[in-house]
Amino acid sequence: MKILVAVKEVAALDEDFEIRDDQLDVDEDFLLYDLNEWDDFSLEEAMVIKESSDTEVEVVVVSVGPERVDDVLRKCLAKGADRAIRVWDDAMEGSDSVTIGRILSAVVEKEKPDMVFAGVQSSDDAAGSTGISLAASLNWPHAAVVAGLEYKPGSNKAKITRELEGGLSQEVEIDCPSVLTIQLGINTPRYASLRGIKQAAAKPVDEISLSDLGLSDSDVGVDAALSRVRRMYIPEKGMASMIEGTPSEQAAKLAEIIREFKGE
Amino acid sequence: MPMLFPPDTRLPETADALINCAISSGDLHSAAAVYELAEGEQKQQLSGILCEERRNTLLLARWEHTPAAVLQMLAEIDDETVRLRLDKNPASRAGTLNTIYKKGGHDRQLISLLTQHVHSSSTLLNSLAMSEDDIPILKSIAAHPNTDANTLIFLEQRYPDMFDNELAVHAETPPELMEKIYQRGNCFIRSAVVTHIRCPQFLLDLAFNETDTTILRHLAANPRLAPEKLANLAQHDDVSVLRTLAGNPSLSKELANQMIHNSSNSVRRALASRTDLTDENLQQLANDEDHWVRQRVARHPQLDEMLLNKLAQDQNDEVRRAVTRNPLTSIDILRRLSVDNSVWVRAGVAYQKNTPADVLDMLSAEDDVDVLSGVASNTNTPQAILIRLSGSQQTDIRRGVIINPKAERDTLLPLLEDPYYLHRLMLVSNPSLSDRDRWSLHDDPDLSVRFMVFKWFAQKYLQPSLH
Repeated sequence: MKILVAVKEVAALDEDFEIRDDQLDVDEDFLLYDLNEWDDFSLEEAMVIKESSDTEVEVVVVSVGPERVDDVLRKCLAKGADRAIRVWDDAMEGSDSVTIGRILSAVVEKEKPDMVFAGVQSSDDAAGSTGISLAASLNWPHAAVVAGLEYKPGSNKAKITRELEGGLSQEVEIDCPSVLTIQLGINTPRYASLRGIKQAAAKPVDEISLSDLGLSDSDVGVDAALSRVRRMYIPEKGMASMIEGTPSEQAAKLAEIIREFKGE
Repeated sequence: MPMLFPPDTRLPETADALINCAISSGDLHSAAAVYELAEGEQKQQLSGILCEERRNTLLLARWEHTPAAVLQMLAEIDDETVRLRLDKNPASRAGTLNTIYKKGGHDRQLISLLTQHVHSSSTLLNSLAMSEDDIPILKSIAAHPNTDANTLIFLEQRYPDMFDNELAVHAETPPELMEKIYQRGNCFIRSAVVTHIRCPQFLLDLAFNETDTTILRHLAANPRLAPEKLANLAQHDDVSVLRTLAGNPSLSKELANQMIHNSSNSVRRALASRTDLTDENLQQLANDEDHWVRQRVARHPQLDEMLLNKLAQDQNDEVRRAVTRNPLTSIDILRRLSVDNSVWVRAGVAYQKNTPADVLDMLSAEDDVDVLSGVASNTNTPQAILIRLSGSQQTDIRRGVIINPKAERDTLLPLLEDPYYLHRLMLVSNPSLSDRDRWSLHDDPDLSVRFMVFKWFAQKYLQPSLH
């Protein structure tokens, strides 16, 4: 039994950043890279299933990106994933989430997992569409924003709880294999043990190229993408008014604003 | 993480060996940690590591743990973004800020940040007050705690009225300026002036005749107010004035006796927080209908055994919990409260420094994280229990063992491999561990742990008397 977990290395913005000259992204010097927060929960969910199962479960993490992405894959290996796969080719630069979904679906065809987990969204692009694109590309059942999961390895059905707007939850039965996008808070992600981190440093990350997946340059990259970034910029800031006065006066004015807001 | 150090890297026995170890690793954070210790060629090599990539320079310029000596070196680099980050970094010292001003003094954003930085010197602030015309910048100078009295006087003369809010609360404002501000100020400015530690006595007398409750409320807090004026304010019908008065350290016992019957809970709570209450006051307040009043009494530092006993049987959890945290609480009471129905109360017992070992042993069998964290951090807990708790799955419980000053080396050793990086970081300076133990973390996967190890050893060589 195998669970494939799609993970992403996300970029967090450092303060006082600068936009690149081509105005398509932030200057890389100002980016801090880490594992996408949602993916930490996806991996933990896979690990919980693995550790509570009577049968053998293999957890495989996969990511699309250049060599530096190995760091987040090793982080996943340190937390207990059995194998890590990184897919990259320079032609993939500029791929959008639909194209990434297509690449990941080729990995799924190759690995033949019983379940696929992805994060609801990535913290940098926040498109929330990679997991769903992957399911569409595979023509598999999918469920988004999964906040609870009951799944026994080998079973052809899973019971999931989806988080809806307005504090509502929805219980759904889904056929397996399927693609689930996992929501924050579904579990408590573990810290990698020191031993796990050191062992992961020595573990190999399988590198897969386009040709290994039966894809060509025309299937990926900017030209294959259905959306393209035209410009990245900092919008003009809105007005904020400072509350002037001594601390006591500021407190009185703040209380007045709160009373007004409450309609008192 | 690529391997930074050869597997057989031994504990450096000298400062020189420590610096060379950081240099040969090429590790940014280890290099930053030993930078202050190095001189000459070694310092050059470390600078090379720290400034090799702009990305790293930017990172160090904003990191709040970057040593001051490294920030000073970065201030010399001709990079506006780096300077901006140094200007925002609370670890930048006065010398670094002066360098930033000299190199980028024309930049409005930099100057604005300099006037808000906690380490800006009074000399720099004075110089900016003389040269700047921008009102928000001057306002920041007037509000800055390092601005001296002469600069404040200068600002007031230059722009009368403009900075009264800042001057009214500034610790360095001279009394004569306070009078001026008081005379022309609104009720909030007058309130700030009468609360000021240097407020002249005659202004306090003047304020006493005010009718505005905001001013009177602030006046009531001033311990320099004459007894007859305090007595007069005790007759006021505004609760906020009475509440503040109840906390005034100069309040007489007679007035406290009188106010103890006040119908406002907040007034009685303020009274119950006083440390100079009589036994009779405490007795009365211990029977108060408001449980927050009783809770404050239960924390009182001069409570007798009888009252503690009575409050230990209070129906409210918060009151019983406060009894457990009172250093005067006897072992007998603690024993009784250790089997209390409320976990919150039992956790209080677990944290109490007087709780005996056998009670802690019993509490260690619980599964509540608050109770177990208390047991883990209690200095009376037997070592065998600490060893057991150090293997807990709960982060807070393991942290309790780490912060316990009685935790022995053998208890702490397994925690050097704790999955939570902050725990490993805390262990670096733990006095129960040997240098060899802490050095085992020099190649930790977490950058802040590596930094802390190298910094600890660097400090050992810089200030040997402290280690």
